[in-house]
Amino acid sequence: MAASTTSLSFRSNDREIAAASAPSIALAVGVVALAAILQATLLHVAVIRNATPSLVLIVVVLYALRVGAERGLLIGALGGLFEDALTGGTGGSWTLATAMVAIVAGAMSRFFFSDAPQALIIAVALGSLLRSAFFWSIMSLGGYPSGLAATHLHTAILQALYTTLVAIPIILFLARSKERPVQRIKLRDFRST
Amino acid sequence: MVPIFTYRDERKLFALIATIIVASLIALVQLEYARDGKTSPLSLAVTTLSAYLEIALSAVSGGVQHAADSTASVPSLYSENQRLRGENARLRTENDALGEQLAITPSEDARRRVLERFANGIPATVIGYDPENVMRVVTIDRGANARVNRDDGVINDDGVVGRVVEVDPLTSKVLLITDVTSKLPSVVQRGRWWGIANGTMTRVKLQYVSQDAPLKVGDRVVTGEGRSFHAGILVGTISRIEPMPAGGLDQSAIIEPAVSFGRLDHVLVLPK
Repeated sequence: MAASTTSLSFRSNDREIAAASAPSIALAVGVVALAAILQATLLHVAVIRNATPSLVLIVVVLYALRVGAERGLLIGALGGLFEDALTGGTGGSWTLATAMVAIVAGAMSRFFFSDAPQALIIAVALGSLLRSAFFWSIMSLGGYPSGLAATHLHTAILQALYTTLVAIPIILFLARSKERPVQRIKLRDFRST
Repeated sequence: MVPIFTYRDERKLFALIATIIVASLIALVQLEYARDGKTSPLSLAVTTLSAYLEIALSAVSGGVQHAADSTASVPSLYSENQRLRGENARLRTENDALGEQLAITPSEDARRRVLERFANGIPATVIGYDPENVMRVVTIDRGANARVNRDDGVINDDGVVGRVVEVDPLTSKVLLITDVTSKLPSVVQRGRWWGIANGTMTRVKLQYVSQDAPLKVGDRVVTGEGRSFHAGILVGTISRIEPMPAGGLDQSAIIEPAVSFGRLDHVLVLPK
């Protein structure tokens, strides 16, 4: 367990290793596009009280936490753009909201890097709430009727819970598949020897 | 150990700022096009590419669903059910038409225009929904190439579905009547009382109906003559009448939409 990376850490080494071993941008773009299309075609059957899980957000938050704000922002903006294109009527609101969440997640990883599942799950839940807040603020600035704010708040909370529930098995699966001997090696182990 | 001086962080900062600027520009362009009611070239490219994937996924999921239904149903019952559903839809449409005719006694010319419009309807299939379910918008597999235009009305066997708000070459976006930005001129069929049907996310609210109108639960609400629809297409039935506020000059009622929006599949676009 001494070599595990699943503990909270403020050390930049963990972040550097995670960023270096992260999937390529091309793969991340493909995954986020697939997530958006899955949401548009299949996930409408899983709507509960107007809330639907956001696969795009899960991909963006997990990727941004791993690679930092710069690459995370790119994936966030593209994920939002896909959603704007598939929705219609939202302009660039999802693009902006998702990009901002990616920046926040990426910036957080600089100061507080962790790949512990618990931390990732909390990050997804907070990211979902934050993105809804950004989205409705932008829509409201664009003139969207604001009379249903309470409904939107309830839906945003439910969506955050729903998205987190969907994210839990994904995060656990990724954590398990990541535990390979090569990736357990950390710089501090070399230093200690 | 002396730290090595590097410009790495500065380069990263510049990259971050540049990416933010580009993302903001993209978002601003998107917003500008949305404000003008046009589709941006970027959205157009993405929707065109995604349309093929959506059509393919829809075909696969539709095929799987159809196969499961066929397996679960006894073939004779299935065909009988299909026949009865078709007959039911025909009778309902006929009933709507007769009710409307009885109520407004339309001219022969107006009736012919409506029939012609329905005959020219463009059949379409719903292939996509709003990914985040915040807007009541669906994507259909007919676009500008099939002569679909913005503001065309969309119906199905049960009644009004919505109107086209965005047209791409292969697909179109349809704003459902349950969306909060949807406003549809409507008429209570029994007394010809006019109102505006606004979406409330799950249902439709009929607003600005004259305070003198004696609305009743169960009253049928149909479209009035407007930009997207001709008169007489069923919107829904009144399920609740809201108490009139003191000093109010109009009244409101909640409409239960005739269309089941959770199971939308085949629709008909009514070109202007």
